[in-house]
Amino acid sequence: MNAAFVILVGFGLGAGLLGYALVRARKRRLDTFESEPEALPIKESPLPAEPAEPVAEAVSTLEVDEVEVKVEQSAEKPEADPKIHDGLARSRGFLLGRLSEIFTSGASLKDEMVDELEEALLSADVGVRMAMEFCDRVREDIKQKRVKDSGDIQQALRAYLSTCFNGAAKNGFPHTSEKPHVVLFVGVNGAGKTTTIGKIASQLAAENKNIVLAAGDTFRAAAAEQLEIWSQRTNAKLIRGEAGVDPASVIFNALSHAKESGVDYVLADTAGRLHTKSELMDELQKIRRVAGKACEGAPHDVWLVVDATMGQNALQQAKEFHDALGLTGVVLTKLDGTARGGIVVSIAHTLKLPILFVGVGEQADDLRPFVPENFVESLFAAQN
Amino acid sequence: MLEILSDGFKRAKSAIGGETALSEANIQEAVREIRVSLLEADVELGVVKTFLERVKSRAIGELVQTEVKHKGTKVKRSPGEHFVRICHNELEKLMGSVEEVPIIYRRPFTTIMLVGLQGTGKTTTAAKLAKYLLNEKRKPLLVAADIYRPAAVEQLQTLGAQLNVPVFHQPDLSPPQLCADALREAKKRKRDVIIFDTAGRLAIDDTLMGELEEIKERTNPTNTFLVCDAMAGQDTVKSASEFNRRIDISGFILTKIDGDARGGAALSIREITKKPVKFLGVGEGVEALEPFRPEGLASRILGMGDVVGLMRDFENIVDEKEAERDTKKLLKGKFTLDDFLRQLKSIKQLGSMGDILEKFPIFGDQGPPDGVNVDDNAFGVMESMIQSMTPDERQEPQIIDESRAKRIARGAGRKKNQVLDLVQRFEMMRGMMANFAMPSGMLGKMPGMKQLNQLKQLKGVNMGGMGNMAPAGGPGLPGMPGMPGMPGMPDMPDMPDMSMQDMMSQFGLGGQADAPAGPQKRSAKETQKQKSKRKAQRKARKKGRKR
Repeated sequence: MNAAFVILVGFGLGAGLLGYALVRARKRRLDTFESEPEALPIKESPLPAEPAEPVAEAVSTLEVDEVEVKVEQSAEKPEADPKIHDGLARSRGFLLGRLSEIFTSGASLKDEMVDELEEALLSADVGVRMAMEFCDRVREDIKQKRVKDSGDIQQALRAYLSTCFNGAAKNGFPHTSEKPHVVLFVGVNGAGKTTTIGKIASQLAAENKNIVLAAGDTFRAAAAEQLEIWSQRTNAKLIRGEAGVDPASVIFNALSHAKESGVDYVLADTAGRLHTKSELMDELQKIRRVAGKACEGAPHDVWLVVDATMGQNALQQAKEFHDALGLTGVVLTKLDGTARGGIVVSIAHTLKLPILFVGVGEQADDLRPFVPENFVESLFAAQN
Repeated sequence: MLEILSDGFKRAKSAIGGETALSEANIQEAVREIRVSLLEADVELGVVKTFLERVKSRAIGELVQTEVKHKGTKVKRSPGEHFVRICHNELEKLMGSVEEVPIIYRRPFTTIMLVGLQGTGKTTTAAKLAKYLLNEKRKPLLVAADIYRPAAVEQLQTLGAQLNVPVFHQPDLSPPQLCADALREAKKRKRDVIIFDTAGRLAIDDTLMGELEEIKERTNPTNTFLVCDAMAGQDTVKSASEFNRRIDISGFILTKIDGDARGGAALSIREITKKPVKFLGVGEGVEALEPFRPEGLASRILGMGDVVGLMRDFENIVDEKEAERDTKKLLKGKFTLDDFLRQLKSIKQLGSMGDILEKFPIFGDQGPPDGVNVDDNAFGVMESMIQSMTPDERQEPQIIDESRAKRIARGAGRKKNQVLDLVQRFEMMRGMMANFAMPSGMLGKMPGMKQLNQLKQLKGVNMGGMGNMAPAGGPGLPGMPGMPGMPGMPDMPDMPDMSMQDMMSQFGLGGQADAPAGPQKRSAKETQKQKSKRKAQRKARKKGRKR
């Protein structure tokens, strides 16, 4: 009985303290959560209550002549890009496939229509918040008789999505005077960093640029070999280290080499990592610091590689990588499948990051500059 | 994201509060919120819809009792609880059970074919599977059939070398030929499991899908696993069903589950293809592959850390109030023998104390130390003594003097000293608890109660299972001995789950454990909580049956 007593008291005290700690921890978390929505521009900007915001204006008043012009242009642009256009080929015009079904023949506005619109957005991985926010406003507009027909809604949608990419004006590869211009590629495992570097390298090589590839993925087996094959294809110099060495040292060597030999671009690969692994995120920050020491201003760009098949977690990834490293752009890969990659709408909108390239295949030239209009169209391409 | 979910459910709950029958109209808002939750988790839209239809059809028309007589007091019950309960059940159904073994073995050798989109982790998974098979005392052979991605073969060869597992590859062979040759190679080398690592491909790539069909035809793999990324979005269903259509997968492997993606795609694939999840990739090392456990994943997709916590909230709103009151009483030293009696009763409902004690990890395999007295009768004895007291005595045990004790002892068929001992211990506990109440902040924040459910679960589940439930923020903390315990930790989804939880469960269980041995101490509070919880649950069940 005495032993039981001692155990009892011991546990009582221990648990009490733990309990207290947990209450505190929980409370802290709650506080963080509460403050978070404020931090998300996604939540605020498109609300009609803020007339200063262009999105709000566009949608609630639906007077968006400029957008219309933009979209007409886009109807032609896809032709220049047959691969991306593949998905779009089935129906041309402006908002395609499913969307045009939804809005056939200026049918009278019904709630189901908006529901379907919402579904189309959701199926494209645009994200619940954005899709619902937009559709709720459309419903409200219908109620207030601010929109007359489906055409109005289409305009509003185009305007809305285009505004999401507003912060994303630039696309394609930066042409800068710095020499070397250093780009660090980051992302989760399997997003396509190495392949993207290979493609960019071959495109730059085609422009007669001098390139150094830095094999900063010293973790994954044969990652350096993979990059080496690309370096052979593109005649780029590859700097690599032994498997398992500190990736920062590889990057440092690559930059030192690049500085000496006066190359134009350094494309630095890193090992894929989940944004939740703080020690690996620290490693990236170290790489970033070391790069700055090897070469002033480096890395000039930090690009996040995002897989189009990813869902809502990609936004979280982008946030974490952005917080850790200060991203300057996003590359969207694997857009050649049926995935729509709608999550980049949220990424672009939330983090105001430009989407630079889209990857549409495994070949070197299967990396295209990102064209928002085309992308928006392809979000709604007929789904089979 | 999880906080959205929990908000959603809170709103869902309040949206249908106060109604007596669930109707299309009064669950509409709740349905919408759950829809958002699932979509946020990347569950495919179609699956979300089917799910919600099912939930709705079950929920509509169901009568919800909002008030229940509970131990003489009126308790309000939220109809939201019913609705969420139905959601919960349906979601579990969706995730399905896994009675199947992860890998089917065949003589003379087993073949495993890994397929999937680019970058889902096939090569890494191949190596992990090889490691798993080594641990299973098998002799795996890896086949590098990805001839497209640069250095994919080297990657597998490196991994194979690390594991000391042979890797078969011959340049200039087509993948189907390579795989067919691998079978001969395996026979020659006396390997009994062959793992084909195929190239990543799009499900709409007809040529490459044709190649898979050919491999399948020529090697007749025992297991065909689709490797899926836990972060995948809405498109997964499309590609998974296409893979399934073309090569009839036998199950899938969910990779990168160690991130914070909720992995709703797994639920979608499960629902659409009806094929089971076989393994989870839980990290970058070759060891990081685990046979699938449904609980963990289902709760992760649901954000169960939150949902379950909230459900418990629903269930225990009332009990919680009561528990809070008890806690306050206890901490203020106003806890009475009546309260204690209630707790005693509820702890008894948990089952034999010996059983419960045995399951406590704190004691390890050897079971409770000898000093710990596991006597279920002790409860009955105490109960009988308390029941023999007058209401005044129960309220203020200090008035019990020799003569009162004598009378009580007679009534209970016990000895006078036993009564005095009980009173003394009770007083001691009360005093201790009152002293314990120093951090004033703790007071109002002890919703407690939640852990009762968990304890109930624990009864069925072996203790090792505890850790298993952890990944999503887990089943919450079983109660703490003295403290009423935290709610299911709804808001701490990414605590260092395992360890914390294990710790907590230990403590919680420790608390439990104490109960039998020295119920006079802390156990009182807990007992009471558990008691009321159980009661609430029983009532809920009864209600369910009535309707």
